[in-house]
Amino acid sequence: MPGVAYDSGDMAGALGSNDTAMVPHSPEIRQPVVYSLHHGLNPPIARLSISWSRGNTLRVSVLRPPSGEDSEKDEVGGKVVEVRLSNGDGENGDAKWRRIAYGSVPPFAYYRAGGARLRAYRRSQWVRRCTTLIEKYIRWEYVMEYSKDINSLLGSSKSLPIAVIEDPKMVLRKVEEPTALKAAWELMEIFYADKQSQPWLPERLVDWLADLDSLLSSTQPTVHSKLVDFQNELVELQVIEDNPKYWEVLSSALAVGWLEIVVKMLRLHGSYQLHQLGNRETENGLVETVSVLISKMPRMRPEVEDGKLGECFKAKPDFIKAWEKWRAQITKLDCSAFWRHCDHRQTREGLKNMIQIMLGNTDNLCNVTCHWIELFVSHFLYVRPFTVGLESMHDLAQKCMLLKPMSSSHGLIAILLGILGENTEVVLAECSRAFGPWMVAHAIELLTTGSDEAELLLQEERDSLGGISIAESHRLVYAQVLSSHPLTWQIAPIYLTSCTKQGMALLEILLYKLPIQHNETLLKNIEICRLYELDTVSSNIMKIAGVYHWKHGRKGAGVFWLQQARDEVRLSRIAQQLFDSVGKSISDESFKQWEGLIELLGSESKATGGLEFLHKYRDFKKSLKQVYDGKTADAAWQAVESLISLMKNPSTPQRFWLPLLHDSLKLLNWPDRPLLDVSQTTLLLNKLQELSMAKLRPDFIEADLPPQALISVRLALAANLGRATLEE
Amino acid sequence: MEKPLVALDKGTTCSSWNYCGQRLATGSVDGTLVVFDSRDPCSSSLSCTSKSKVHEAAGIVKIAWVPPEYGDAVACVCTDGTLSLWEEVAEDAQPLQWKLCTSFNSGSAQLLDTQFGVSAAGLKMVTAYSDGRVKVYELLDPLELKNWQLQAEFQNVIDSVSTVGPAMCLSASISWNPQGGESQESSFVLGFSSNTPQLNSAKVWEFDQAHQRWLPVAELASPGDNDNQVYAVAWATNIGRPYEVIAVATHKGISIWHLGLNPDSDGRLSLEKIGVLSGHKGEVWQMEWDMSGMTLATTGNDGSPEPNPFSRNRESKFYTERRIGSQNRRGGGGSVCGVVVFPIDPWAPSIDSQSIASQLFAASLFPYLGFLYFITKSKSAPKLTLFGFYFLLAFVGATIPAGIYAKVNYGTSLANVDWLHGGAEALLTLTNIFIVLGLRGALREAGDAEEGTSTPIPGLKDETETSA
Repeated sequence: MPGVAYDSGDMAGALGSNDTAMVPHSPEIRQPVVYSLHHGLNPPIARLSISWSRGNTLRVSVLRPPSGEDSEKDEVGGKVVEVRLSNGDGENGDAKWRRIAYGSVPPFAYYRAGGARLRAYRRSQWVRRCTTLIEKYIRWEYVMEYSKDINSLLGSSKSLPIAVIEDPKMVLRKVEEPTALKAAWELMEIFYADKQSQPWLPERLVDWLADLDSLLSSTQPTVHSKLVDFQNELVELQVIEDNPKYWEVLSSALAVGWLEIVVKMLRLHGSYQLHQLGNRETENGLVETVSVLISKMPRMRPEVEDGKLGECFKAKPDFIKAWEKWRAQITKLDCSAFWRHCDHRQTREGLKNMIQIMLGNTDNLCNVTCHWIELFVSHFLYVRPFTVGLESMHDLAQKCMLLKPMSSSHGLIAILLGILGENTEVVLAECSRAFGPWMVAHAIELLTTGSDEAELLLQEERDSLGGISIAESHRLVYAQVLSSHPLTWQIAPIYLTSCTKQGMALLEILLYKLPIQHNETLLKNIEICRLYELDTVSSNIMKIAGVYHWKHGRKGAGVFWLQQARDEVRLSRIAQQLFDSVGKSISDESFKQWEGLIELLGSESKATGGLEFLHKYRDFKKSLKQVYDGKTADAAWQAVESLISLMKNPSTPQRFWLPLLHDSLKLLNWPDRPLLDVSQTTLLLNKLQELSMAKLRPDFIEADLPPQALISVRLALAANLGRATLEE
Repeated sequence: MEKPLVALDKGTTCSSWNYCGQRLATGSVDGTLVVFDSRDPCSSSLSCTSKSKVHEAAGIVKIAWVPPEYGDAVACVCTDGTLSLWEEVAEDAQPLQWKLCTSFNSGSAQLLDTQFGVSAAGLKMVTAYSDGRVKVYELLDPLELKNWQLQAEFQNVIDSVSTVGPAMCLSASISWNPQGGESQESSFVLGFSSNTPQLNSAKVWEFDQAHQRWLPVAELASPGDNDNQVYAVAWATNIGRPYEVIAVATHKGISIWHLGLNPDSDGRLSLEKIGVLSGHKGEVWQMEWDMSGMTLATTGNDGSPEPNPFSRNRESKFYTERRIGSQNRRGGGGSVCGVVVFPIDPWAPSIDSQSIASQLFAASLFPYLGFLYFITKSKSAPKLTLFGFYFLLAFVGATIPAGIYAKVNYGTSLANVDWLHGGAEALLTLTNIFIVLGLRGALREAGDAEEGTSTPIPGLKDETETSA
């Protein structure tokens, strides 16, 4: 981000403790840029503490020394500042940048998918070399579509609606303000993507400049800025042809090929006015001839847009013929005798100058253009109309730059120079410097299609980059920028998955670093994991969510997520906890609050013995409750069955035996008939005996029961045994 | 560029963000733990949600978050050397609040640093004390942060036999391998700043599952510099590189180390120091790698606010390098602090081996040509052998177009394209066959000639006959 200096801001300004030092970034001296941090705190600063957030956001805590001499009472002790280390795009606002980021995803994904299809196709048919051409063609189609999609995303260059009655003095049509980003993209498209229009490359450059010349005006005067100035003056001018500026602007516009503007302006010439037509016949004739010649200029391009002038030729031989004819006409006009009859000096000289421009007089061209690019473009129009290939273009650019040195470098110009010099690395570096990671990550697709060498350079896996290619490393950087914003992290996976080597690992880290407290984020996160088959990550995330909910009092949600994560270790711990807490209060009604959880835990973690007991215990409690509620004997039978299975089960801890039996006293003393048969009763008696034996051991845990519980149970069992024996 | 998030209370001495950057815990000189939360994931506005008194008498000097798999909890190190674990829990019907889980008393020694790491066996906590001891605790119950067991206690020395006497350490820095998950054993790097040279250098410790003990597997110091006091260490996340990257800060600068992944026969990991960054004039306080492990951020005490003259290698021109300086110009007494961010690419080897290899290959041709010249001149070599030696040139000649073809068509070196490589090497085989055949022929010829003229030991036959 060159040339962006910070205002010290209100908080810094008042305190004066923050300098706004800014070392401009220059590609030659590889020194770090110094940004000042606007924390607005009084010195001294005792310590800084840093922490990376997601992506490339750095959080800096600026801490003051803990009160040595606390002079100011209201002074804060420190401040936390969030620093985003790269956006690179000063031109577009945050919202607009996000729009671009989101909008560029579908073309990118579609293009990548197309590339993958192509690669698969190539692998299957690699023997047949003849397919290469077809394949290349398909690839260009893909890349062109991609480029067009992105281009339209960056803004349209459509003119604003034209008024019904056109102002004759309005020479410049109002268009939407072009952005440098779009201009840069178009430049890449012209040179790398649009292979079909390679033959008329120079004409495309002319169009490019016509659309975007205004951008260059920011750093130095251009033809566009000249035109804008003149447009403002135009309204007040009475005799337009007397004004030298009129002729100057005319030749400048002609030099860069803005023919329709030139013709329109020529028609403003005074000799066209009806009352003057009579006595300025020759002059008018000359003006008209020149304007007709201009509008008939042959151009090597498939078609011209509406309202633009020139005759198009698709094939080179036709073009060369037409061009020579046109030139001959101009030369003829130049030598014509009519010039002597033209009385108006300015008109004569101005028109002569324009003819010289059309004849390709380099001195004249140099005089009327401002920026070297304009000179460069004018060379294609008038001096070397048959130029093809980049090599000669680069030489020409060097020459033009010598003639018109730049005062300050514009990012676009640097990119153009890189392209002309066929230096992919420079193009990438300049893209990154001027437009940030978005541009680089997306333009790489164009560059790789551009030429085989570039593809080799960008796709080659380098040990020095940790085994990834330059293209991948740039995509990683862009994905990191995306993931640093809470509204754009969702699209980072698309770019990360296109990085075959290190993308997935970074995606895993990104997903791990997302907050799980918010359900939407959590669900989206899990969905992404499912999409890319990141099972370990998703189970880890669900584990974190489970622990979070469990610890924050939402036990049900906690168990649910832990189950989803299949975290047996924690689930069995939870089961243990439940078990313990149930054990503490087995006869208590607080069991109810655990019931739901036991239900939840139930189906999955069968392995845990404790839980099995809890399930049976729950069944037992349920039927026992029905018994106490005065329900039928069915419930009692069920309760007895549960009791027996509980007592038979080895997983039932010993300390529960007595409470269980005590709880079921009513069953043992069932009035109608004995519910337990002899063998069942004997089993319970045996257990009771075992329990009395265990009582002698030191590690026995006394159940929280009335002291006569054991005796009453024993009594009930004995009675039951007697009744059962009688029954049998 | 920068955005203020929150103002901190007076007397704040340390701060720490949790894993997702949504919660900030700060500790102050009066022993208060303050937690800030951002409620909405889309906004970064923070609000204070809790204030608890961790220690009545001592201030907090360091805060570390427990990994999220174990709940929302922090470890607070206090100036009196105690370490207490605080956890945010909602128990039974009570509202959410920060509660003390447990606290560790280190006795006479001061606790310098503590860090948590997740391993297959569960949560581990490494603590480093001012007397040079290192303790590793293990959490017994994954749901309760109360019960810890001391798993190991050792000193930061590479040679475990000799023990170092009582040491006086000023600071310690611990950094776990961020890759360590519940699926693998983890390791950490630890360095001291002390008066005992053996303790100082940063060493990588790995848990040896077989013998249930911690072993030093690498010492991150050049042979001459291994007694330098270490200010800070940072282990970078590895997203697919074939080696680990660790940064170690000493008074000589911040050195970046490449650590091999596989141990050699005696259990050590291969090491390579790939660069030294001179970021800060004074002590480095803290270093942190970003989530891709490509950018290192450091804070430290700068003597003067000079830009960092870090020279860059060729590859890293694709990255931009930035420095955020928070500086003051008022008075000479104030310290100057800076955060330096180094987006170095931690991969770059210092020398491009590929280019050297090809140069060596080209240069080796000249001595060989000399050899051919002299062997031809001597006229001593058999014809076929001589032809074989010359035939090697055919092999050399064939590899050049083959190499180019491999590079252009397959985008890799010749050695990786089997059919091309095999074809070229076949010429080499022919060469060998020619040489051997030539020599064999010459030997036979010489043997035949000798047999015709003389027997090896003329007198031997007669002698045996006479003795018999």
